[in-house]
Amino acid sequence: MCLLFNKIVLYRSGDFIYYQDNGQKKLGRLRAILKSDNEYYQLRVQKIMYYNDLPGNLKSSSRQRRSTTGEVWLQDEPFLTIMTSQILEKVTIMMAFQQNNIPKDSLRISEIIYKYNDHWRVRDAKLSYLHPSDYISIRNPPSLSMPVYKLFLDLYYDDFGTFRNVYHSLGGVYIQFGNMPTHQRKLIKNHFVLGFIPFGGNFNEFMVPFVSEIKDFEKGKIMTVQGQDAWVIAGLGVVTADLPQGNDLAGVLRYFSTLLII
Amino acid sequence: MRRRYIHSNPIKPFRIRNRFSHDSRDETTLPDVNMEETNNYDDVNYDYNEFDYDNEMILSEDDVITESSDDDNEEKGNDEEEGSSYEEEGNNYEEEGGNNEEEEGYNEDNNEEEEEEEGNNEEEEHNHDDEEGNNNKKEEIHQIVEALDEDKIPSCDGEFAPYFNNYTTTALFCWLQKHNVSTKAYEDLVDIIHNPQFEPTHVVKNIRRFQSWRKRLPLLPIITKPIKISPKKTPSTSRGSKLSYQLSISEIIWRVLNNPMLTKHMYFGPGIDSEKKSEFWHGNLWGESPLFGQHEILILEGNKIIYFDIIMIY
Repeated sequence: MCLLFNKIVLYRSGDFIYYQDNGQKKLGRLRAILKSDNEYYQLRVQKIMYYNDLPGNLKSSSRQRRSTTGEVWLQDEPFLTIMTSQILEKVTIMMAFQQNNIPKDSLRISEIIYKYNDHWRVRDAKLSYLHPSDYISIRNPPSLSMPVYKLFLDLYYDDFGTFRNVYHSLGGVYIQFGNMPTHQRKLIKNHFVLGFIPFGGNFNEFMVPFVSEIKDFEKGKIMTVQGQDAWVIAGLGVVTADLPQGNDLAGVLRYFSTLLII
Repeated sequence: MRRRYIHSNPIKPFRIRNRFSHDSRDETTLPDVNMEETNNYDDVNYDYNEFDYDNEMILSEDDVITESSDDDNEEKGNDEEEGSSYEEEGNNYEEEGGNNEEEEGYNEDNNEEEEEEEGNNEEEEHNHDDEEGNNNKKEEIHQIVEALDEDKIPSCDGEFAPYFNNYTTTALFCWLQKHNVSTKAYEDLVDIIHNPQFEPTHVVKNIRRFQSWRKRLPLLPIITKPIKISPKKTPSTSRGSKLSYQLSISEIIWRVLNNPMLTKHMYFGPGIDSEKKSEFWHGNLWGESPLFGQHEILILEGNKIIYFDIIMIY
């Protein structure tokens, strides 16, 4: 006798999944949960290959041997977009450089393949971009009914002359909210002053109180928003600076020009 | 150019000489001379000559009279400023050149007897200059602030006639002049006064009251923190650390989230897959990071088939 039933499962971005594509069962990593313009959920998936799907120039006897003990290969961009209905189930895949004790016969990844100049190449998977879920863990709100506000902060730093052509300039540090659309964000009333750094002052030292506050916000914090408790998560998404300041922030020698660094 | 260069020279010996000959007059003469430094070279000469003259006359007299004569000198000096300014315009270079040379010679020698002789000569020359100056003065002088013609003065009656119409304009005029009020500040004041809600009885007389009101404003708290100053960019005498001022990010976030005018424009949803990327939520970071986008989703794992046997228990 058999029973047909549906199960509701919670998926997080960063999870490894089986999905179906053209009737085939494939491996992948869920990178992002997005919405399309017409309000449907879309999932961005990074492909993972079995040995048989590897491009011909990368097939070798040693890889074949490793594949028999569960090795699969991560593929770099382009990523694939699938619908939620294509998801089949979760799967556990170990990243070789993240876990030390990998159980035998479990699926694991140690290499990433990518296309460069129309040729397939391979590199160690620890050189791939880390998915944010690999290094960020956030807490869930204490109550599920609590509204969640996630804030995308944009830090902007620029020197300005204090008076006419006085040599000693002052460093202004401003905050913008990436949650605002561009036309709102550019308004001068929506630039929020964080503070001013005296001439020659140490930027890192200035930022210490800000950084410690942001670290609290990254974990989530209860705030009263418009009369009710809300779960507020804020992270520094972008740092904008022109070239002299950008080089200072990045630790490069300065040169006079203007550039936006994202 | 030449005049100005020479101008600084004759003053010093002149001062010294005064000190030598009339100690009691130092206090009064020196400031005079210093004031004249800003004036023209010729003025200095004038004063010098006048002093000389007075000195001869008054040597034996008491201080009161000398001081009054100083005042005279000042006035004369001021009068003759105009004369000298005429001279500048007149470009009487030759004569002046002569004077200068004489003056230089006098400086070098610094001999009292010669001084007096030359001083007298110069006095004559300057008197001559002065006469010329008086002849042309009325034609060439420029008035910077022109006096109102008598027939243009408005004929109005009242307490403040003929210059102002009423108390308000008079008071405001004096206030503007006294405190050097800027145009912008005055325009703002006019706006306040012309507002229909403006009530003179509501004007607070004590300015300290405003300071207490300032504390009631919903301002953000300011944190201050000493930070190190790079010694590479600053003078060696400056301090190694300075106070920096900043606002708290949690205060800013709280204000923004509690401002419905701002939150109604803000987007807190998942990342959006859009062809045309214009906002941060179209980007990869928003989509992938649990800090910004949606990081969990409930999915219906469809059509699972489980086979099992029915165990009937009686």
